Amino acid sequence: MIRRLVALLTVVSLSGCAIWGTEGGPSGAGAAKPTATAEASSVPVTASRGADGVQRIEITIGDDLRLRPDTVRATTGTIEITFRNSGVTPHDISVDTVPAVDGGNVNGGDTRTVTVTVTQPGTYPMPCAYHVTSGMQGTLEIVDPS
Amino acid sequence: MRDRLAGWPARLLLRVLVVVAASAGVVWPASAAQAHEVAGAGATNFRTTLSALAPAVSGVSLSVVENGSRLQAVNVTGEDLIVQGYTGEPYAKIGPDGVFVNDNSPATYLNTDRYATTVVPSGVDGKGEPRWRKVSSENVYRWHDHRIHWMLKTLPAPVAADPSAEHRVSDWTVALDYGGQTLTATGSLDWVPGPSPTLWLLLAMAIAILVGAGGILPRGGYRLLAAGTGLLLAADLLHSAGVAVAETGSLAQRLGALFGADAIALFVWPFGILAAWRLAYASRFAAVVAACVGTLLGFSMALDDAPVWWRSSAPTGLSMTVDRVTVAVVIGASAGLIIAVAALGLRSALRRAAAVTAAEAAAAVARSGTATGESDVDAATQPASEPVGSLSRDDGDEGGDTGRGAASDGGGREGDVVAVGESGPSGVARRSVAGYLAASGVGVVAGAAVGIGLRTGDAPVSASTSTTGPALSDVGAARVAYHGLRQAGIAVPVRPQAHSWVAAFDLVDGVDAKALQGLLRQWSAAAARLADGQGVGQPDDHLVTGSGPCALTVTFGFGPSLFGKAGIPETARPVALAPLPAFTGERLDPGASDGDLGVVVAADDPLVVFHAARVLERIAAPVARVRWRQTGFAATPGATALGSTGRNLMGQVDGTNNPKPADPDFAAKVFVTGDDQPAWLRQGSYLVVRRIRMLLDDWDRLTLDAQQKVIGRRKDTGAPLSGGQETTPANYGTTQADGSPVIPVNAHIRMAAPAFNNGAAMLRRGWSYADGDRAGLLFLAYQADPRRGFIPVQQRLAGNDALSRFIRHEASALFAVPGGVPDGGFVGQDLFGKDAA
Repeated sequence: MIRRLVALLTVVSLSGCAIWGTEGGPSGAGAAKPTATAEASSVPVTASRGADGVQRIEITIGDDLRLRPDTVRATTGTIEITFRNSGVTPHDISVDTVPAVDGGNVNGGDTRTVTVTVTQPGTYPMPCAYHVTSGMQGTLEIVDPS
Repeated sequence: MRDRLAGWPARLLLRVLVVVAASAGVVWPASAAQAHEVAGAGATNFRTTLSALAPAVSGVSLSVVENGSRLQAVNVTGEDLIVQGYTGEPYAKIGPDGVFVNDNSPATYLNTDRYATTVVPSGVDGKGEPRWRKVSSENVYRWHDHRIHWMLKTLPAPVAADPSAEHRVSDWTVALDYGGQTLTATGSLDWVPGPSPTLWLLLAMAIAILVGAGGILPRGGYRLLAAGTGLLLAADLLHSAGVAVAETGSLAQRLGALFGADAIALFVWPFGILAAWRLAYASRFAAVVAACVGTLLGFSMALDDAPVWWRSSAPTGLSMTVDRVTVAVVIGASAGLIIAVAALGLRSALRRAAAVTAAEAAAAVARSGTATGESDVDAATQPASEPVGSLSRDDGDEGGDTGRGAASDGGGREGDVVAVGESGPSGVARRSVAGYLAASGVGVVAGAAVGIGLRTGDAPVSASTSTTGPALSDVGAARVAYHGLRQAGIAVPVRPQAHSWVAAFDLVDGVDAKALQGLLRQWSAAAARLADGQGVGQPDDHLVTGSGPCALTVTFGFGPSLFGKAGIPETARPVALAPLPAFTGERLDPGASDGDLGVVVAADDPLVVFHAARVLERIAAPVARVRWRQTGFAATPGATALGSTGRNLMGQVDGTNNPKPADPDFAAKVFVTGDDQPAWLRQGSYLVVRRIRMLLDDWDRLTLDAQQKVIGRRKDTGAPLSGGQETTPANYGTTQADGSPVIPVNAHIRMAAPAFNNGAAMLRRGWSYADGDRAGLLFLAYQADPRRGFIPVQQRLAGNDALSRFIRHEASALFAVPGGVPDGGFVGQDLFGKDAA
């Protein structure tokens, strides 16, 4: 019996930190930290211009509550943004141009395309309505074509 | 042999129990993860704070419940309260007919899960007509609002980089619609690191050693184990009751929180109570059962609840210290019981080896002489030093529990020995200990279950009713948190309270930095207690006995003259905190102006204001003396329609064009945000106080028309003379038939308008005052910088605007209002930098 208890103790203490969840043990030991890629600073990706003059970009959104790429660069005009949800949690990204364009709900595994027309150069946030408090927000940078 | 026969069923049962316990221990952690969580939230360093719900509405309250997991809205009025979803669509409706959710709102689906791991049905976008579905007939609703808590299962990057520091993770807002207006709830999500677990670990180890000693001590060992088991059960029960109290759900949910996942406690506790009882009769078998109970409870606690040792908050109705102690006791006592059983096993094995040797010796003696009885053999195995009473105890080693052994034996010498043992003084003591343990265990379980069953939901943050006595009105119960990002009393509550006390203090000569910090610390602590409706432990607390906090706020500021005193260098004075320039026409009383420290107390009840002012004056007495003080008043809540602009003593609506919290540039106008200002002033403000006497006899001699032209607004509706209603922007270009402007060139609103003052704006939050024949406006204005607020506007108004003839500025003060006070901190502490004591 004693041996069984010892075995049980060992198993439990080895798996202890994982069991204590996201925030981990004392002083954050074993805490679930964001991965290096999630922390990496954003590199702006330029939307590609099609033959019809529309700029297109696909943004992957997932359970890590990030937009990839999280900064999109484009010139004034029409931009078509496709949000691809690679996770299981739904998101709702809006493009806060004036007036803001709401992308609508995108369930896990779904995609949704939003078309915005921007005439003013500037920096426009793209927050997720559900997760903005947890930092889920991208940026649309609009520059003059010249 | 009797002991072998009696031993078989006992051993079988023991093995069954061990297998059950071991397999439960392996299978259980999966469900134990939910055992002591409330609505998916366990101990955490994340802290969700609701700082305000504005404008306040009587009968409507909002609170953060279940340790930040959910929001709770209560609406006891006759009108519907609608909670907005994530894109502003109606999500939930709480009203006289009950609670409804909108099946056409994504929030209805997202908010069912703590991490929103759900699917929103296609076509649900919140844009169409609401499809209301009734979910309860109550007037309260609780939901997982993902705007208020952290949604990732990894830490925020700044927190991961430095988990032992405090972090502001985000600010949040939730909007509610009520009776045609929008109520805005604002709050924050912070990371607040917890304490070191060392103390609690040491406590658990000490308890483990103490209880474990029960397996080694020859005397009193079993009693120690019985006490240890009782302590374990009591601590586990207290801990579970604390969790159940934090649960705001239905009776079933609360009982579920009490008994843990799958009501496992209902299965485990009776075994524990039984074991504690039999342990008092020195049953070794009971020790094994107690160890099994301890294994289950202790592992569950270590896996699930040990984090309360090093995290700053947990869903519990207990204080964090008591909660941490219960966890240490359960883990410690469990480990002690396991150690004790191991020691007992070892002792028994050694004794068996000794018995074999002794039996061989006895057999040799028997062969050589007189035959002896079985009991004599048993007696012969005892060491000579052991008392007679302990004979029965050792019998129990192999024969199950002593009582049963004695009964089956029927009589004879051994029976007599047992009888002596049970009726002797130690037997009586053991029995009563056992009786108390069993009775108190059952009683406490039943009491806790009934208590938790009868308990109503958590007291809301913004408005609460006391649990005893008649319910307070909503005016009395209104509560504004003292702690927060910004000081209360500036933008919160939105409507200035009905009564105020504004004062300035001068430091007594020779006061040093330490004494000043002590004063600020005591003031902050008192203000926090008073804002929460608590007394400060002095007899005059009874002045407000029976009153609620009445939306009490206390706002502190530092005057220009503070710099250069109490060890604060003059160079630390912000540039914008220069004494105000002289203005045309003012006749200032120096004794009623300026001051080292400024204090604004405001509440919806004059007794509450008076009491708070007395408390603050008394605390200040050794360090600072009142330089001047002035009380003020405004309309009583409920006297005028909700959201209407107040009127001053001239009868004019006053404050129509005040910046509104919903304005995008509100914070930039009112609060210090720039990097050009010192750190201690961030999220703070500058307060200008002017006692403006109204020459009401002169004013009353004017006709209504003349008065309206002085101000530029109609007196009845408050609409600008250019037309429209009160909130219509004034059109300064509108002219009359003769070409002269409808709003005269020297009308007050024209001269004061931001448009004519380079956009200068401030948040006016004044009160009327009347002392004898002196009456007027106690003008208070908060702004990000007086050089872009009060100063340019007053320079333009003074001596020029038509109102100047009817008012006289008689007193003046300027204070820098530091940012908000964190829980455990004090106002302005950053001014003292690293020297803050």
